[in-house]
Amino acid sequence: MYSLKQNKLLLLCLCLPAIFIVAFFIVYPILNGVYMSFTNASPLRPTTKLVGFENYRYLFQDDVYWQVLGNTIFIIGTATVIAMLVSLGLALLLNNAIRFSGLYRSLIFQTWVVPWIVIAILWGWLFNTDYGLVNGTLTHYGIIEKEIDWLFNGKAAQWSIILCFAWRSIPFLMVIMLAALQGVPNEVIDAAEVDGAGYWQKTFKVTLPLIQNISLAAALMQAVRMFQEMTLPFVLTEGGPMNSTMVLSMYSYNLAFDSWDFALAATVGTLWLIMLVAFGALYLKTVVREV
Amino acid sequence: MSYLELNNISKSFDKVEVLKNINLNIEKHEFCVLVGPSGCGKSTLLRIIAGLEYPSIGHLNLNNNNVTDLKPRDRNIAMVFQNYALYPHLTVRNNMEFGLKLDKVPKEKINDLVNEAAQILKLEPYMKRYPKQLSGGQRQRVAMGRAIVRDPSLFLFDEPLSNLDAKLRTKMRTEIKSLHFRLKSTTVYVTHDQIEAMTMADKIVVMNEGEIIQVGTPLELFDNPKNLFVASFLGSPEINLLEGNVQSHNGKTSLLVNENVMIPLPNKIKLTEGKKIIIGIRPQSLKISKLKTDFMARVSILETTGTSTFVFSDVGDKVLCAETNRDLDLKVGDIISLKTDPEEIFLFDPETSERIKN
Repeated sequence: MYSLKQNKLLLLCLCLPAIFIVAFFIVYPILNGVYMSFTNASPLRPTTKLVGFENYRYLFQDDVYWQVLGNTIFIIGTATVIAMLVSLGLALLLNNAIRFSGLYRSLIFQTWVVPWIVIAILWGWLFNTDYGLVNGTLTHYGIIEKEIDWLFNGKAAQWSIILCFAWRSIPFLMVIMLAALQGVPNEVIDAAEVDGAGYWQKTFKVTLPLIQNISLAAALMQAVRMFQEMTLPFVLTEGGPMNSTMVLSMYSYNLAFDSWDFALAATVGTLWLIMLVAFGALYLKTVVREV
Repeated sequence: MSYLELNNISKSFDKVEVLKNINLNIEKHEFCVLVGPSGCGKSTLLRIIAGLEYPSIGHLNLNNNNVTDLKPRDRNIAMVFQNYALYPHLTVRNNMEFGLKLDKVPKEKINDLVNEAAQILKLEPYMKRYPKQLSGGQRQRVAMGRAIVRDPSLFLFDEPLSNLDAKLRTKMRTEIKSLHFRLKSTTVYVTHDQIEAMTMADKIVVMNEGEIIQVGTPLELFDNPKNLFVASFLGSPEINLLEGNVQSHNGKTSLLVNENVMIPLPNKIKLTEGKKIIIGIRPQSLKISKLKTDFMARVSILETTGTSTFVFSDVGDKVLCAETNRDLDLKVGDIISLKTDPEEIFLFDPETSERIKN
C-alpha cells in the first residue's frame, strides 16, 4: 500500500502550510514576547536594549503585581469551582431524561453564544446599585436592608466578577459534562445497580469517576480561557476598586496600552505563560486518573 | 412451588409489546437458558428478573417472595453482562469488592470472599490490574468473580460470551458450566447461540417475538420440536426443510417434492392424500445411499470439519445438507442418492407451522 511516510518531501510539502501558520501566528509571537521581556521595549523610547532580568526583578518587588496575581487566582479558581459544581448539577438533571431536557439544554447553551461584552453590560445593569435587579430583588424580599455597592466595594466587586465568570462558563462545562455522562455505558450503571448501589452511590462511586477526566480537562480549558478574558472586569469595574478586581490579562493590557511599557507587559505575559504551563502539566499529572 | 416463578409477565415500551404473557418456572440449582433470535425479548425478560425493568403486567416470585416491585439490590441477584460492565476506574480486586462494600460486609470477610473467588477463577495474578489491562476472557472471569463473591440467590447471564472469539467462547462455556456444577447456583442464561443453549442448559426456553415457544431439556427440544421455528432454530447445521404433497402407494405414504424426488414418510402418522406438508430432516438423519433411491441430488458444496463432512446438495431449487463420514469419496458435481429413516422425519403443517403428530 502507498504510504505518505515513504515520500518524505511530499509529506513535508503537505505539512508546510500548517507549519507556517503555527510558526508565524503562535511560535513567533510567543518567542517575541519572551524576548521583549528581557528588553526595555516601549514606543515612548527611541531605542530598545536588552536589560536582562530587570523587568522580572521589578515585577517581583511590585506589590500590585502580587495583588493582581492573587486576585486572578482567587477569582478564576473560585469561578471555575462554582461553574463546575453548577454545571455538574445541571448535567446530572438533564441526563436523567427530565421532561423538555432538550429545550433546557438549548436555553442554557444560549449563554455561550452571547458575546462577553454583552454579558458585561447585562451584568452591569443587574448589579447597578440604584436600579439593578439584584439589589431590587434582595431589598424587596427583605434579605438586605440597604442597597449594596456590588461593583464599588472591594469584596463584593470580586464576588460579582466571580459570579459573572462562573455564569458565562456554565454552558460550556455543562455541555461537555452532559456529553461525558451520556458516554458512560448503561451496562456499567446497571451493574452498579445490581451490585446494590442507590442513586447517590451510582453517581459518586461510578458516574463521577468515569467523567472525571473529561470534566477536569474541560475545567482546565475554561480556566485558561478565563485567564485570557479581560472584558468583564474591564467593563464592570475597570479593575477597581483599589485593584481588587484587577486580573493579569487586564493588568498586562494596562501596562502595554496605558503605561506604554511593552517590555513589562511582555514580562507579565511570560510569567503568566510559565505559570499556566506548569499548572496545566501538574494538574493533568495529578488529577487525571487512569481509566 | 418453583424457585423462580414468572407469572403472566408482559412488557410494553410505549405501544410496542416486547413480552407477551410469559409464564415460566425455574427450579433451584437449575441452569436455564433463554434462547431466541435477536429482538425476541429474552434480554428484556432477564432485565425484568434482575429488576432493571419492571413488567407492565404480571408478577414474579423468587424463593417464595414476590419480588415484582423490588429494586435489584433487594433481590440478592448477580448479573454478568455482554460487555462485562466492569468498573473501568477500579482494579480487579476493587471491582469484585464493590458490591460487598455497599452491603457493608466486614473487611476481613470481603478479603476472604474475594480471595476465594479469585482462586476459583484463577484471577490471583491480575488482582491489581485495571480492566483495560486484561484480555476479553480475563474480563469475563472478573465479571463472574464479581457475581460469585456475593453468593446471590440467582445468577443472571446476558449473552456473556458474545464478545469472545470462537475458541475462547468454547473454553468459557466449559468454565461457566463447571462453575455452576461447583456452586450449584440457580442460573438464568440468555443467548442467541443455539450451541451454547444445547451444551449448557438443564432447561431451554425457546423464545420468539416476545413469546415462549417451547420449554424443555436440550434433547427434548432437539428430538421433539413443537413447531417449525424450534426445529429450525436448534441444530447445527440447520434442519433441512422440504415442501411437497402426500402420496399413498401400496399402503405406504411418501412426500412428492417434484417429479424426480419422492421421500418415504412415517407410516404411523395418518395423512390425507394430496395434503401439502413440510418435512424436516436433520443433517445427521440424511444418509448417502450406495443404492439408487427416488431421492437424487447433485453435490454443490463440501464442508470438512475434521470429524465429519457436510455435503450440501441441490434437490430441485432446494439445498440439503447431509452429515457424512469424512472418508467418503465425493466431489462437487457428483450425483448422489439420499435416504433417510422415515421415523426420523419431522412433519409440519405449512399453514400453522405446527408439528404434525399421530
